[in-house]
Amino acid sequence: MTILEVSNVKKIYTTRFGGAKVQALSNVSFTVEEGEFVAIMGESGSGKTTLLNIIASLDKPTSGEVTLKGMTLSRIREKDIAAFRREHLGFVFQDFNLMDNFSVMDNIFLPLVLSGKKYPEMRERLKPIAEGLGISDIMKKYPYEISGGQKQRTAVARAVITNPELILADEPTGALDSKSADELLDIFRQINKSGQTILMVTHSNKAASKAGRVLFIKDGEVFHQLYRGTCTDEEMFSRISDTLTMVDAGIEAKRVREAENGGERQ
Amino acid sequence: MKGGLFARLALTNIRKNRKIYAPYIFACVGTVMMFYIIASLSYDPDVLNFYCGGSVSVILKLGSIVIGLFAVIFLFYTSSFLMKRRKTELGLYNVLGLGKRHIAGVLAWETIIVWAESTVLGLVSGLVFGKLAQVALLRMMGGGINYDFSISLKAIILTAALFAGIFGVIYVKSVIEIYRVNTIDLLYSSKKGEKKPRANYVLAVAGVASLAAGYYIALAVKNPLEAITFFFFAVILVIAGTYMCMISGSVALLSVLKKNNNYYYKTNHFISTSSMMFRMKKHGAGLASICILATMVLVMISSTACLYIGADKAIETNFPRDLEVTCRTFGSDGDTLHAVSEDIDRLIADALKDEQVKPAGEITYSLCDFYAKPEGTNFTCAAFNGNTDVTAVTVITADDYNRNFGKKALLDTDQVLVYGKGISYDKAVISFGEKKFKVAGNADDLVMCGEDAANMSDCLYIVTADEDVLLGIYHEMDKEAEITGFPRPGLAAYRAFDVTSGSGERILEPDRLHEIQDRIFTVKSDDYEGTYGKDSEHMGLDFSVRSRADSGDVYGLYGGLFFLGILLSILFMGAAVIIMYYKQVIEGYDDKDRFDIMQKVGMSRQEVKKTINSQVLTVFFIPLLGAGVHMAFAFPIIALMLRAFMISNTSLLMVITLISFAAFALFYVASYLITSRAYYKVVADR
Repeated sequence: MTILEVSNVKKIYTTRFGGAKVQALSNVSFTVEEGEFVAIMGESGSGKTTLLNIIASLDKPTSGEVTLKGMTLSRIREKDIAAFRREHLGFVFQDFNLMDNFSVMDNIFLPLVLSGKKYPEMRERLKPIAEGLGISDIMKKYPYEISGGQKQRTAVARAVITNPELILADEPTGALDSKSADELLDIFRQINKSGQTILMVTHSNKAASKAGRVLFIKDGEVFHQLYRGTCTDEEMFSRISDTLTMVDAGIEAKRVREAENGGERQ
Repeated sequence: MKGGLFARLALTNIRKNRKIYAPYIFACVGTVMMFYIIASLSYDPDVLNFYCGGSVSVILKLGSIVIGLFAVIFLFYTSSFLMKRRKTELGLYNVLGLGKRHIAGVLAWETIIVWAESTVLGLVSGLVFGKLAQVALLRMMGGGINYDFSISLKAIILTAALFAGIFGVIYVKSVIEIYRVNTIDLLYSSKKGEKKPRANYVLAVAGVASLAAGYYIALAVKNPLEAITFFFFAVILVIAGTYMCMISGSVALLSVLKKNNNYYYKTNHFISTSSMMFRMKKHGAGLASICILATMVLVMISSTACLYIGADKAIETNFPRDLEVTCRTFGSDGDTLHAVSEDIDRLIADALKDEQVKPAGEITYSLCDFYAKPEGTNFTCAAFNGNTDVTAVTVITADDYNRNFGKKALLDTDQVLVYGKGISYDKAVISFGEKKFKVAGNADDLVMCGEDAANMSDCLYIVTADEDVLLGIYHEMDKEAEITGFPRPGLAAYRAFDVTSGSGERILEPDRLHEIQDRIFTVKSDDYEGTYGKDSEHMGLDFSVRSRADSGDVYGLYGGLFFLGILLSILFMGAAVIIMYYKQVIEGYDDKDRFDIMQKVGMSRQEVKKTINSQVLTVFFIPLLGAGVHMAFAFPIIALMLRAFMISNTSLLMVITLISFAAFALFYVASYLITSRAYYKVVADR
């Protein structure tokens, strides 16, 4: 079943005083099926964060539509959008975004408290998640007392505790050392196996190689996509590397072609 | 060559950090200006030459010490804000290759620039506003205006030197701070994780106890003179209590709330409880400072304004006429009283004739007076102790009352009229020993002796049917005093009158009044004492002449106090605004990140704004609330202290206090709104 449908999304930023227009996304379309683990790859400035913000309903597209489980985001009323985000989406960010005035446990509880859940129910939900993520014994600690890996696992716990339809991860390994990054990716794969749909934005080949499908974004468009099929992580890794080289070469080839065409015209 | 670079760097730094430097320089200029104004006025010849100028000058010198101390604390405090914000920048310099020695050089230039700028600007505005202040002060002291413009070199040197000293110490402190930390810490000091607030229950309890003790003292003291001493203890206890409560008490309270899962994990409480804990930990001391400053402003303004405004009325009642002559005898009887009355009339007539003036608006009565402790409806002998539990009782006759105040009271021998100051006697009967009376009503329009009006004890006047009843009470109390050993009651002739020249004009010059006053004294001692004093050794005598000319001192003094009160209030309010501004900016930087996170985890912009707004509002209105509570508890002790300054008009103090509080609250809200714009600018800056 299709859980997320992005169709013909375009985003143009206009500078405040009506000056230059910057096209961040030109025309993006793709779908995500329930239970998938999708990685979106692209270099800095390719528009991947813009895309994620639009899917997260933090930003609105200039044209095109995003549909989550049959609901069109642009049709949700402004005042309901926060609750919608809270109930249907989970977020994991590069810089964790934990509140430093909350203990680890309270940080995980935050979305539940905002939804008005009762304390016993919250405890009930927390227990298996915390155990699965190996953070049961740091519940009382504060974010500045724990490591980066622990922080990111706390953020994952916060994202999954609401049972969201979709988890959006923005460069989740970006601020982690390689060991913590591997651990986190394993966790992602685990929760994905249990049926959780994940959409992850990254520019790390390693991170992307753990996904079931990889979308490549270049200049605001989906340029290419790779399915894992029966590949191992290593095979996936090298295919991603090849694709990236190809993408670069392709762009290079295109540029050369354009330059030649331009030359002919003159 | 290096010096030039440092100076240029320093200048750019100040310009670049305008947002946090401007209020600091503003604070410095303001403090310099206030200090110069007070110091120059305390040396001002026009003030000194005024007839109570000496004491006002002493008050101003004390005021300048207060401002000096305040300047040290306040500038230290604001400069630490600055340092905190700038550590990252200085760390960057360090990384880019400026040694700590060089950073110290840049800081030195910055300090010199700020010092020079604030001293020059402060002195210039001090000179401008100093003249204004001088005119205001002289007016308030009841004097005329002098349009000369004078510059006090002494005050200028003193000001420049004091602030050079303060800036020097601040500089040394920042350099020590720079040397003590390493580069990395400098670079990341503003990003360091906030430590979890720990509830210090011991400190919280100590704070509450200290506050309670301060409040208890304020409520328990009954003696105006003791009140002045105890007030200082109470103030110190309350200041300590406020700091402890705001720093620890609030965190302790919040962590108790946090431990209650059913309370804590509610949408409305969750975010506010835990972020309030962090806010209070961070801002507790600053908020306590604002609260103390606010309370000081309120206490100063309301008490000095009450003194100043009440002075007119106080002078009128404390000196009902230009001159008052009282001749009081002890252990005497009716015959002696008559003799004394005749003598005193003759004596006054002779003295006034010698001085070629005439009396006008005379008040003359005979009286019996004593101190007594009211127990129910019975009054028993007591001694003056300054406490409010002892009343000064004065008995006069209906004849005297009717004649002097144009009344037609007719009393039976068992009836009396009453008139109270400080107390209102509303019982139906009253008794002095064996003598029992029915209270027939109030003795309206009675004018008390000035001495009684100025007395810090409560006073009760009793109007009796005739002299026999009066003497009856006198002998009754005399007997009781002899047995109990308390001071004996007095039997006195009282004369009060204004003085007019031959042509009927009032004589108002204090010096002339003093001459006449002296004349009455001299005449008495030379020619009259023998007639009723010499042969009767058992009989005591007390002769006094009071003159309204002495009231000038009071007026000038109260004017000076009120002036100082206003000046210090302006300074303290300015300080409160500056602290508030810095708090808002710092809150803004902290909240900016929180804003983003809360939105990302599923709160709408409006919700986030609402929660943060309500917290900021709570935080900033705690000091105002605290000041209000402090003021309410301080009220009785202030009222008591004012009695020592001859003002016993509690309702006047009440009105003035309420007006001051309302005005201050308005000012506070206004400055909150203005400084909160700085907050929103920071938060919305994304």
